[in-house]
Amino acid sequence: MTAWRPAAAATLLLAAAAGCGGSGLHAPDRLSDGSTPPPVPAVLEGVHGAVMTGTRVLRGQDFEAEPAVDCIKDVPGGAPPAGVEAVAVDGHTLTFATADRQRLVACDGAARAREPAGRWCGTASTKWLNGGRIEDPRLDLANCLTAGRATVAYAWVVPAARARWLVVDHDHYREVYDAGSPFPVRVSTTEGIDDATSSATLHVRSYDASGKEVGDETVNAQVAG
Amino acid sequence: MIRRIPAPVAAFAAALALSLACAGAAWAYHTNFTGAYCNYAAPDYTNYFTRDGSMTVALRARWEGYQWGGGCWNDDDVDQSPGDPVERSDTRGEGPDCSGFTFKVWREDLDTSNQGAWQWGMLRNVHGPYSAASFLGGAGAPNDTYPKSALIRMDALASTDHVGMIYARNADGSDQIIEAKGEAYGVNIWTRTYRGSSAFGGVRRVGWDA
Amino acid sequence: MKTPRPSPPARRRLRFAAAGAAGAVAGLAAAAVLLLGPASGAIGDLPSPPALDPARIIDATHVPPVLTLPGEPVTLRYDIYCQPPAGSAGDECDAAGTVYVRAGDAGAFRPLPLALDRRAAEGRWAGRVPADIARSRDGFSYYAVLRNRAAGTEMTLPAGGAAAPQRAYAMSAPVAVELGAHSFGRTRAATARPFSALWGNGPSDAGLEGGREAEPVGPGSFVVAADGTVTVLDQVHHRALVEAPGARSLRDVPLDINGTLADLAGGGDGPLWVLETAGADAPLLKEFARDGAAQDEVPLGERTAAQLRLGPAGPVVKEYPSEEWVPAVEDGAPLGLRAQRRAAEPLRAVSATRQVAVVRTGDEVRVGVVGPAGVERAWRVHSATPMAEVQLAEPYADGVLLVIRTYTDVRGEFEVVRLGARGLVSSFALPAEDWAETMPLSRFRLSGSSLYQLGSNPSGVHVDRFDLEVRS
Repeated sequence: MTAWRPAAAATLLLAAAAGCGGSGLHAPDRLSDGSTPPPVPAVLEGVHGAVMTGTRVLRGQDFEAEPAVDCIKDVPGGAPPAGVEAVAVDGHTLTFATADRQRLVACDGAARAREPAGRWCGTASTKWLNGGRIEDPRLDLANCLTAGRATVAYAWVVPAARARWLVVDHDHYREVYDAGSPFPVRVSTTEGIDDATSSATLHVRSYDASGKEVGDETVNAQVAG
Repeated sequence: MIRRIPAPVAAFAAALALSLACAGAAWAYHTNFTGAYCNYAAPDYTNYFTRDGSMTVALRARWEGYQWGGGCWNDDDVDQSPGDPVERSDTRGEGPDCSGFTFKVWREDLDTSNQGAWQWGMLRNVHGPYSAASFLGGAGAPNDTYPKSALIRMDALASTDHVGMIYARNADGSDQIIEAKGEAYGVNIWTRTYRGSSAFGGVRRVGWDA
Repeated sequence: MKTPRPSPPARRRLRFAAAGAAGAVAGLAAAAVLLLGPASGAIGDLPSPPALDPARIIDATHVPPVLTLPGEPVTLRYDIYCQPPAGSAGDECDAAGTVYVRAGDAGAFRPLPLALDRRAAEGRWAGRVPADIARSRDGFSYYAVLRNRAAGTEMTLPAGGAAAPQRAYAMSAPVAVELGAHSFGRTRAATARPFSALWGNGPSDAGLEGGREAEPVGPGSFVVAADGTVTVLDQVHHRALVEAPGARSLRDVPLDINGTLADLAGGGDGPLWVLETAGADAPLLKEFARDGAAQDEVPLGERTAAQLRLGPAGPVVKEYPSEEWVPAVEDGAPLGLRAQRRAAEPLRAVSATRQVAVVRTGDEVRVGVVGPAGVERAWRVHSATPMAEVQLAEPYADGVLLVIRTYTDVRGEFEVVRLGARGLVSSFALPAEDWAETMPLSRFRLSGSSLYQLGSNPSGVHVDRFDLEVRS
């Protein structure tokens, strides 16, 4: 009997188990800016294939530095009081409300742009109603590309009530966003995009601070306005 | 003798009436213009496109309706879907929104890297990949930002929320703009002063043959 | 062994439930038919949608020269829009046109065929005015007939044709005024704020046309009476808001209007006039009594109505494509469309015998006061910063008061320019205050020696007063 056969079989079994991750999901190990993803919150350990996006709250002088300064330069009213920067697997966004709190603005970024557009390859803006509601996800898929030249689409998603985390389901991983700010979450995706109808479909789930799922919806966003 | 309605008949009638009432309410909400009349036919490529020709495309939309995210109309000078709820993109009403109107009048490609010209049928339901903010930023191969003082007919003025195309310049320095203005306005030509407003930027469609 | 039958009460409940389910299914089927219509697939082919013959479409645009310089060659330019001929591979229509031109206001018109200038990006159908006519000290008058040769349709521009031609006036000795480059950010503060209202739906709030569709649209227009009473058209709330000097609160005048962007004229002791520019019946002029009671409606004939003003003889409307001021009423009676066309004037009357002519051409604004004998006073105002629209041009003192929008790609302000016999008397800048959209040319009014501006910001709308005669 050859001694190597049991070892080989064990190795194959281990490799298969690691590759499957239990469900065919594999969390990316890099975000769109090349950084290492932060750890997934412990309460979301049950979300297989989860990758945590990077989140930073910007205030004051943060808006005087790149890339934020390039985003706010044409916004009336000057620098906003605060903004949320999210670095995801494929996209990079900055969301803030204007100083009069009437509008929500996002700058969308990615590895490449179809047309040169400065530091940010796309932008979106919408009225920001009382209570944080928005009237439209403001889908943007016109100009932003991954390094591999796949279209990156962006949309605002309003998390469910009491949500602390928002999870976007991708084909091979789950992307976790911090939903703790007052703003809707600007998510990005390269999947579910329909060029013929200029639309994108995302499946999102909201989780509260204890990790309990509090929302599950399919967002159908279309370029409009 | 009082004749009683049998209970099963009453149940049938009540359920039918309730369902029809719901249908009536839904009908008032959804006029289903796109479902009834619009198509997804392929556009025709055109290797010669002019500002004049695009003006004609635009003129056929005058008096038609407005639909958020929409993109088809029928040139009967009637808004077939008046009073659509303004917060819904799924009401299947007639007409384009402002950016969809510009996309179709400028005869653009769904592929944002292609600046070629495509003739879309009026009833072809298409919005295109650009929002007003996209046009403002000159996103896509066919769109370039342009100095406002140099804009001419069939150039556009865009803000983060709205885009309209210059139809003509007026002697007093204002512009006639052809635009899909909103649900209460539909599509038409109005005098506007977008050019001098700091909220608006200039956009030019590239590639005109004339 | 037989299955036991349900008891009689159970059978009744079963029949009831079955009947109810059948009714619901029938109703849902009806709902599907109504909601999905023929596209449900169960009905058949898609119906043919109603559509009008595209050959009916013919439109044209033209920027009149209005004020010409001595010896200046004049080329009249038009763009003509119509459907290309059926089966044509071309993109443009088979157009043609003739301009009929004459010196001054009288005499026979001379036909001038328009030729296609393929090098031009706009104004492609061109005709050079004969030198003897262009040099006439009386200026010249003209109209054009523009055709779709393939469809046989035509239009006359201005619509009144020979009865109400367009007019160009010769400036014999215009005074040159050089504004230089505009310095942004150095605007004058208001003398007073005689009207203000917050956005909202309360009794004293101004309505904001919201929704996602466009820039915010607020009150469309306003008027100022001789006593300083300000009337603001709050069309979103279907009313006018009136604030009299010293009044404790705003007065609310309900108006039967459709709520879209509209212009306002009148007020004071007379009726209120509202120009509706959008809606199925637009453009439409409506007359209301001081208490808001509807008095009359006057349909207007052209495709675009841009401004409403109260002239010496009643309300007049600036209409396009003719680019003329069209009277809507004569001796208190509404004018029919044909009468409107024939009575149209190229310039706005500011008195029984005087008109104001304004044209922005290139980097200058030409202004003239026109009397029975022609141009009495004229100015050429040049700016190194681009100028957009002339918001206001009114006789003032011995000259004219102008308000011009000056702009860059990212900034915009208004320049108030007081012109006198010798040129520039004074000028100052005003902020744009244009957060909400108004009627395009109704942001300013002149009353006495005060200029009024309709402005807005995210909080609300206001009317500011700027006294022009500053006493030291």
